[in-house]
Amino acid sequence: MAAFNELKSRELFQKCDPDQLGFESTDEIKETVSIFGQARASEAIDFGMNIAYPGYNIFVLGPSGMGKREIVQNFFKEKAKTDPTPSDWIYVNNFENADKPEAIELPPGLGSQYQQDINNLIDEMQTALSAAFESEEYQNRRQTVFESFKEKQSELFTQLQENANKNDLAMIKTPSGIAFAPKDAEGVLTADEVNKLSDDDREEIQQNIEGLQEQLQKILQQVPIWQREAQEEIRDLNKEMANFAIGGLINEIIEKYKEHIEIVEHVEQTQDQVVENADAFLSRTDGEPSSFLEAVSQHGSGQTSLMDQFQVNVIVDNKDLQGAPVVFENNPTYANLIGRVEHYAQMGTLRTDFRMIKPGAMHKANGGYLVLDARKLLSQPYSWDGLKRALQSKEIEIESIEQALSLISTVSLRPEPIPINLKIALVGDRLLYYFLLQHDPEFSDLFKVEADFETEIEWNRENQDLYAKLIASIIEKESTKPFNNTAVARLIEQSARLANDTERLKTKLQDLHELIVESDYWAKKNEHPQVTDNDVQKAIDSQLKRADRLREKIQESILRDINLISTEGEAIGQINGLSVYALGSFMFGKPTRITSQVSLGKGQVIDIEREVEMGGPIHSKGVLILAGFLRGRYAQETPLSLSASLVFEQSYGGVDGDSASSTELYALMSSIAEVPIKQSLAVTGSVNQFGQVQAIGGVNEKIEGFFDICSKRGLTGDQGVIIPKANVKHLMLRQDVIDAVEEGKFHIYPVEHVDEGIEILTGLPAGSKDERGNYPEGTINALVKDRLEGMAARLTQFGKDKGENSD
Amino acid sequence: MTDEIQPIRVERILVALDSSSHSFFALKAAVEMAHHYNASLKGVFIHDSKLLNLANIPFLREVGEYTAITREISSDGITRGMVVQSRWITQTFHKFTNQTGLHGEFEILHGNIFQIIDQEAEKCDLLVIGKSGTNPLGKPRLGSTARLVIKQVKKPLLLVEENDQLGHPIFVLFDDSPVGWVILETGRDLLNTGENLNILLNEDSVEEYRSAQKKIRSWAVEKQINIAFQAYKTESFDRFLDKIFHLKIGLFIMPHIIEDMNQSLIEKCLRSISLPILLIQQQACD
Repeated sequence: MAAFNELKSRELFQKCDPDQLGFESTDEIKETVSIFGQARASEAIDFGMNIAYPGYNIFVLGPSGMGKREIVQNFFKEKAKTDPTPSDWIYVNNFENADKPEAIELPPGLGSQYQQDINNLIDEMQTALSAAFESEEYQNRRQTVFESFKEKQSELFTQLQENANKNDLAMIKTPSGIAFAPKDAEGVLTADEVNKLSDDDREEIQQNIEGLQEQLQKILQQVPIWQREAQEEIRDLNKEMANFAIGGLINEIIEKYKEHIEIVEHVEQTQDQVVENADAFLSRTDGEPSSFLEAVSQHGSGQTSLMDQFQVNVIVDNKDLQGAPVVFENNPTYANLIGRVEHYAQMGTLRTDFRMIKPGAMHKANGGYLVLDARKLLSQPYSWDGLKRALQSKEIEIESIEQALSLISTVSLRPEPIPINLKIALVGDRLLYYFLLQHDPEFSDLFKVEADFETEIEWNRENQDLYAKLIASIIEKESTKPFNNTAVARLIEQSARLANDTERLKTKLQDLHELIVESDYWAKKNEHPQVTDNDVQKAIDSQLKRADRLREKIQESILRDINLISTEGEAIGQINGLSVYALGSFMFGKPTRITSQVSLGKGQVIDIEREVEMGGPIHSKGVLILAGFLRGRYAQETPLSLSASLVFEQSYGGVDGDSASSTELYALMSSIAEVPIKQSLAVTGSVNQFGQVQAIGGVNEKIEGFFDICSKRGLTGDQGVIIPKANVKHLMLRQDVIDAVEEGKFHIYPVEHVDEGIEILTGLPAGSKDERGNYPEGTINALVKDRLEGMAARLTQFGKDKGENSD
Repeated sequence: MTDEIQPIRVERILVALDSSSHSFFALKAAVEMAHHYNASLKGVFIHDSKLLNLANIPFLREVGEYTAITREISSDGITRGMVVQSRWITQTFHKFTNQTGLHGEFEILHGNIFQIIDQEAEKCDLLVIGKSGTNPLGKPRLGSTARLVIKQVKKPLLLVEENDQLGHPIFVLFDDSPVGWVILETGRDLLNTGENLNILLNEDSVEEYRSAQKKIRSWAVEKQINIAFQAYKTESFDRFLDKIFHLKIGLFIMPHIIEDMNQSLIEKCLRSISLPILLIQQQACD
C-alpha cells in the first residue's frame, strides 16, 4: 500500500494559525466590519442608491443568511442621513366630492402641526358657534321667526276653529288627518244622533263641513310654504351668526398658512361649509318636534360630530425624521404596501371617510428607501402588481384589491394619488431574481441594478484579518464574551470547512453568527472568561449532534448489516461508492455498494437506476461515459461485445450526479477482468472518456461518512478512500480522521486517472499499452482487453453457429 | 303648623300619553318624578271612542295633515292608525323605563279619554299629562283634555309642554293656606342641595306679606334650605310671568284652585309659562 500516493495528515486540513491573527482576544479589535467580501454587491448597491433615474431600483440577490437585508439597510441609512427630509402628506375631505379625498403636500413637520391647528380650530369653532347660537340676540331673532310662523298658522287655525264653532262643528285630529264633526253642548254627535237629524239639517252640516274642509286644505297647503320661508330666514340668520362667530378664527389660521395655497383653500372651504351648514351644527333638540314619533327619534339620535369632516388625516408625518426614511416592511401585503381605506361598523353597515385612509410602506418610505423581502412580496396576492403599478405610474393610488379587480361595485373612497420618489431594494435569492428576469418583462425595467452577493471569498491573509474583524464586530453587537485568538482561528477554519475548500472562506453571516452565539453559550456554561477554540468546537459538535438523527440511523443500518457495506475482504464487481445527503444546511456522507455484472452483448452498459427512472440525467450521462471509455480503450479493433449492468445496491430514493462514475468504472473493470476489488476502500470521483478522474462535491462529508463506518467497526489499517486529486484542495477533514491518517489507520489516496485507482483497488498494475496496442500480461488492462476480445470471439462464433443451424 | 305639613306623597304615578310631542316630554318628566319619589309608573294610551264614532257618520271626511287631501274616514283606518300609535308609544314607554331601571306598567285602554283618565287618576298619587294634546290649533294652547283634567281631577297634576324639562329653578306660588304650605314643602322636597327655592309672595297686603315672609323665613331656617322671595302684586303678576316666559327647564308649583278658573292664576300661568307646572289641590293636605 505504501507504494501508492497517499495524503499526509497535514494535507487533510488547512489550519489557521492563531499567532498570525495579531491579537490575543477580540477585545483588542476596535474596527467594525459589517460587510465581508462583498465588493461587487457593495459597489452595485452604492451605484443603485445614488443614481437618480427611474427604474434604478436594486435587487439584492444571494443565498439566505448572507445578511443582505442588513447590509443594504445600512447602506441606505448611511445615505439617508445626508438626504433631505421628505414632505409630509395629509388627506383632507373633498367638500365637493367626498368620495375623492384630497392629498396635500406640506414641508416636514407641518402636517401634524396643521392637524393640531385644525383640531383647535374645530374646538374653538364649536365654542364660538355655541356661544353665538345661544346668545340672546340669536335666540330672540330665531324665536321671532318661529313666532311669526306660528302666529300665521295659529291665526288661520283659530279662524277655522271659530268658523267651525259657529256652525256647531268640532275640529278633531284623527291618527292621520283632521276631521270636522257636528257637535252640540254635550260634545260630538253620535251617528245615531246625526241620523235622527232632518235631511235638510244633515245637508247643511255636510255643506258646512265641506266648506271648512276646503278652508283647511288651503291652510295646510299654505303651511309648508310658510315653513320653508321660516326655514330660509332661520338659515340666513344662522349663516350670519356663524360667519361672525368663526370669521376671526379662520382669518387667524389663513394668516399662519398663507404660503401654502392648498391649505388656505382648505381653510376657506371649511369656513364656507360651516357657514353654509350652520343650522346643522345646532343641537337637534332646538328644533320643535311635531309629533311624538319625531320627538322620540330626535331624542334618540343625539348630536353627531359634524365637525369631523374638517379634520386632517396626516398620512405621512416626518416631524421627527432627520434625513430620509429607510423603511423595511416585513409583511408586504398589498394593503401594508400601498395603504388601505379602513371601515367602521355603524348601524349594521360599513362606513368610511377620508379619516380612515391608512398609509402603506410606500407612503412612509416616500422620499427615501424601502427594503422588501422579494419572496414575501411575491407570495402576497397582488403585492407585486401593486408595487410595479406604483413604480410605473410614479404615484401611489390607494384602492383595495376588490376594487382593483372590480370584484365589488360598492361606493368607496378613491383618495387622490400621491406622487412617489423612492428607491426600492428587493432582497431575495438568485432563483427568484432569474425567475423574475425571465418571466416578468417589466422586472428588468424597474429593477435595473443587480447586487449579487458572493458566497465565498479567497482565504488569504488580508481576508483572514477582515474576517477576524467581522467576528469581533458580531461579538460586540451581540455582547457575547470576547473570543481568544484560538477561538477566532477555529471559526475561520470552520468557515473554510463550510466552504468545502482550503482556499476559500464562507461569507454566509448567519452561520457565523449562530456559531458565535452558541460558542458563547458553551463558554458561559463552562464558566470560561473568554470563548476558546474548545467552546467553538463544542458548538460545532453540538450543531452536528442536533442535526444528526438521520445520519445516525443510516450508519446504524449499515453497522447492523441491514444496509450491506463491506469494509474488509475482496469481491469481484463490487465496490464501495460514496454519496452525500443534504438536509438543509447539514450534509453527511454515506457509503453505498455499487455492483456490476457483465455478459455477452452488443456493447451496452445498462444503468439500472435509469431503467427504473430512479437515476437523474447527470448520473445517466456518467454511465454512458463509461461505455465511451471502454470502447475507446479496449474496442478499437474488436467490437465491444458485452452487456454490462450497474446498480447502486439498496438505493431507494433515487441517484443523481456523476461523482460515482469512476467508482462504477472500477466495478465494471473488475467484473470484466474478473479481478476482485478491496472492500476496505471506498471511491469517489467522476471520470471522463479518457479515464481521467475529475473533482466532485462534498468530498469531506464522503470521506468522513466511510471513515465513521470503518471506525465503528474497528479500523484495520487497510481502510481508506480514493478521491480525485483535484479535490485535495477541498479537504478540511475532522480531527479524528486526521488523527487516524496520522497513525496510519486510515488512508486517503488522490488519483488523477482510473489506472491509478484500479491499481490501488486490486493491487495489480494497470499496465500501459505498448506500440502494438497490447498491454503487459498480468495487468488489469490486459485482463480486461483479453476478456473483451474473448467475448467478441464467442459472440462471433455464436453468430456463426446460429447461422449454420438455421441453414 | 309647619311641623304637621308634609310634602305630597307619591307612590304611584300615572302618565297619560297620546301621539303629541307634548306627551313625549310628559313621559320624560314622569320618569324623573318616579325616580325622585321612588314611585311606580303607569302609562296609559287611550283609543278614543270619539274618533271611532266619526267613521259611522256617513258624510264625514278627513283632510290629510300633510297632504291636504280629503278622504273618507273608515273605522278600520282609524283603528289601524290608533294601533300604530299605541305600538310606538308602548315601545317608547318601555324603552324609557327600562333604560332608567324603573318599574313601569303600560296599558292600552278604549273609551272616552277624559273619563278614563279620571278613573285611572283615582288609583294614583300624581297625574302627568301634556299641556296640549293632538289638537291642530297650534301648540301653546291648552288642550281640551288638559282643561277637563284640570277642572275635574283632584290629584296633584303635572302639566308638561314640549321641550320642557324638570330641573332648577323651582318656583312656588305661596299663599298662607294649608295647600300653600304643602306646596312649600313639596318644593323643598324636590330641591337639590344648595339650590334656592324661589317663593312668589303676594304683597297686595303688606301686613300679610310680611307675616308670611316671617313664617317662611323661620320655616327655611328650620328646614335648613336657601330661599329667595319674589314679591308681586296681583296687577303686576303678568310682568313677572313674562320674565320667566323663556325658561324651559325648572318647575313651577302652584295651588290648584278649581273655582273661578277662568279668572284664576292657573289660567294665566298655563298660558304664560313654558315650565312644567305642578298643580296641588287642597285635597292633598287632607
